[in-house]
Amino acid sequence: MSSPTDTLPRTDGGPPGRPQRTRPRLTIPVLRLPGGAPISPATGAPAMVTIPMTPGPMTAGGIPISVTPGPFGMLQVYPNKASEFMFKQFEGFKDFTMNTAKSGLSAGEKTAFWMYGKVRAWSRNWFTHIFLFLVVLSYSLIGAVIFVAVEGTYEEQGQADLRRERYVLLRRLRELTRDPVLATDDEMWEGTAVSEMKEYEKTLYESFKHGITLKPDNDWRFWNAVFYCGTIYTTIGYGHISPSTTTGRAITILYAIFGIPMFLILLADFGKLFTRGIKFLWAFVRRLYYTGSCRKVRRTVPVQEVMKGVQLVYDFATFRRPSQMVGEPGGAAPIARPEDVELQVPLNPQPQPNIPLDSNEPPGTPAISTFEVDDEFNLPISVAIVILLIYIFVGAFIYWTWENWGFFESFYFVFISMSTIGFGDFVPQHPMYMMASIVYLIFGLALTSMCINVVQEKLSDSFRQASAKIGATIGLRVNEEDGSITPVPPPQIEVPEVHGTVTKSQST
Amino acid sequence: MGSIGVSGVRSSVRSRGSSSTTTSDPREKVKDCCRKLVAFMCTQVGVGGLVVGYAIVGAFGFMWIEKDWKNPQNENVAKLHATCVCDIWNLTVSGFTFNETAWRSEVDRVLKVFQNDFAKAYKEGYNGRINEDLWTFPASLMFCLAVFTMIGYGNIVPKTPMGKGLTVLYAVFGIPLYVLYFMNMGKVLASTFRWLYRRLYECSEEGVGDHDSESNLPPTPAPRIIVPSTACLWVMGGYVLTGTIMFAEWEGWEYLDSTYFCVTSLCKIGIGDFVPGANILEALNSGSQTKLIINFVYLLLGMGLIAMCYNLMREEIRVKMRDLKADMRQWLEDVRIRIISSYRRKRGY
Repeated sequence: MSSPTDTLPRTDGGPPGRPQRTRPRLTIPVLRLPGGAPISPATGAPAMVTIPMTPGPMTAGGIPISVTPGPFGMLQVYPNKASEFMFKQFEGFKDFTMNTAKSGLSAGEKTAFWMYGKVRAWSRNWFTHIFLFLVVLSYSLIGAVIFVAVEGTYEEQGQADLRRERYVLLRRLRELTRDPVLATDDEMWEGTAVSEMKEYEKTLYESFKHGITLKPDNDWRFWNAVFYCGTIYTTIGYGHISPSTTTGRAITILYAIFGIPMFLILLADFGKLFTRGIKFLWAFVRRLYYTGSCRKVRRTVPVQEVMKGVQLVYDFATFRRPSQMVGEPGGAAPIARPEDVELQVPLNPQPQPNIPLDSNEPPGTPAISTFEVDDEFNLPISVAIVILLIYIFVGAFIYWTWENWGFFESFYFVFISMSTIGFGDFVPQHPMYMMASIVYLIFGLALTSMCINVVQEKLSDSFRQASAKIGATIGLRVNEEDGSITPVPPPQIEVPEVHGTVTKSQST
Repeated sequence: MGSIGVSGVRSSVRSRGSSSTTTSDPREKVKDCCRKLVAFMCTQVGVGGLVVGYAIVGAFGFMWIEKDWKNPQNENVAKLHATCVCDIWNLTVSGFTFNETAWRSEVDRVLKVFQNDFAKAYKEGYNGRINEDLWTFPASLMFCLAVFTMIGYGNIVPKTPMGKGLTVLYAVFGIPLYVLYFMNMGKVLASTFRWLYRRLYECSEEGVGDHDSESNLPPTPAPRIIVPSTACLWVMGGYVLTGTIMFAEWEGWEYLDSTYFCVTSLCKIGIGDFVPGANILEALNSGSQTKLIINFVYLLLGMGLIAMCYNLMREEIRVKMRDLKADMRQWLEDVRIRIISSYRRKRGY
């Protein structure tokens, strides 16, 4: 099914946009599968510009869809790669037309085109990240609005209740002073008054526990509510503010159920960004250090481990099959967020010892390390832990200057928050610091999960080795795949019979 | 011992040689069972035992460290009491007795001062009891659990610097251990659940398919039964429901509050406004000690169930998420192209 190609170069000098009946446009053979989505034979013809454009009122009209021809209408998981390839084709064609068209343009327009190209390249890479971040941000804001509406009114009422309690106490004391018996006796009056005060104190304590405070402005202001929402979906859960109404609690439940998976996806995305940045920095530093000798060295096992860990963090949240490192069979290891763990461990696919970058194999992701320069002297686990410690100390230092905590308390706070334990005994007070805290904590969480994963992998490796050793000494072997236990017969020992047939009762 | 070992081996070799098809020797069976048990403990149950042991050891440690800490706020609040009462008395004797409005406003002012100071003391950590009563064994156990499962209730927290440092260390080693436990529990529970589901399925099929046995069809191999995701959701829902009823009955919470507690704990948020067994008066009688133990087990098992659900649902979730992500990417590209093309159209290109 192909429409006659209209080979007029576009006079407007850009990539073909939406189909307009009045404008000259480029139509190109489109392969259409019965599944409905027009699929371009992109990978088949490198020289041909393949832009699926529908010549009429079709559904996905005119938009280059980033798919690769997979088995019958299925989308492959390299949409980015395919779309990148396609856009490269775009670029080629566009440059051709642009160069012919640009010769007649002024300098200003040329710079405009250049900037536009840069912005587009930049936005293509960052759009997903920004989009995810915006989604999470709007989720927090919406949640905050809801909580302020629900809890703020309740809080005002609670403060009114407190005032009433105070007046009740006042009246009681007044009665005490009127009492002729007590008015003459100091001690007795004081004793009764103290017991009344104790009652009042108990009510005060209870209402404080439920979150009613005496601050002139109430707890559930907007930014506090945003912070509260943040503590929910990061699962830190400080508890310094908590919902007091039934509705608030029900909303919290729903908010958590939807917010936590979304945050996990964001976390993995940012974690991948972060680690790419670190790796890039590391490679840059090493290249700088060894100027001139930046030959690619054979990857070593420790390097693979941490890269595997990093990769798996991302793989989980994007639910891809974990990529295997070269030479590491069956290395699907669990991930720090324990929920992620379960997704990977039983998912031990047939060991794929070699996944070249452009593999056509069923879904895996390209290993990060294949992009980077490696060096033999890397100690990745230490590097990860050192970076984490630096991050924690920087944070502790910042909080030490911002809040009136000691340095150790700041460190304690940062650690407890980053491991998502979140006791809530130390909480940053100013709203601005709270917002900054959340951003800081998100990155910290990505880092922490990477480190925990690495450490835990070590633990599980040594655990496996230990159990294998134990199993070997007692005659059993633990299968790697499913943990089943198979008895290994002890090696047959040829001992000459000295005493003839030995019965069991005699020999044991 | 070596000779006995050798001869034991010899005998086992011989007995295996003599009865090659059946290991009908009971002692051999027992040995085999023992071996299997030990290896099983090393791999899966062992981790669970390790986790529980780690929690118990941690509980004792924290109890010992924290029980001697004197809350400075206790004296503070006692002093506040005394000052307030003194002030009121002074007001009373200084002649306001017959001028009610003046007396009321003055005493109101005094009470407000007391209230604010009390609020300050509360913020500083006053909680109405001494630390030794606070850090009972069940409470410490709950605290340790909250640390290494990363829930972090925060209803009791270590106040001494040593306690805080120990918390950090405890978390650094406890969290990976817990993750290991989580992974193992998930595997075990998932296989158990699959087996259970298959049994139930077959039982329900047996009643239906009996009349088929008369036909001379060759026995078809058992179809691979995959546990549907809804079954997992039902299991989780049932577990939360059980917890709700349990906590509501024991602690006297509302049902919604119980559900709120269960969900926030199982999601590892751990807000801390509801903690079972945190009521100190209850904790001092032995009945609530068992309750806290049961809470502990409930939470651990709950985490394992979540692991199991992820394990069982992963395929389906993975495929769905992949499709969703591809759709989202497609939509994003669509939007981006639209924005860019509309911008260009506006600029007249």
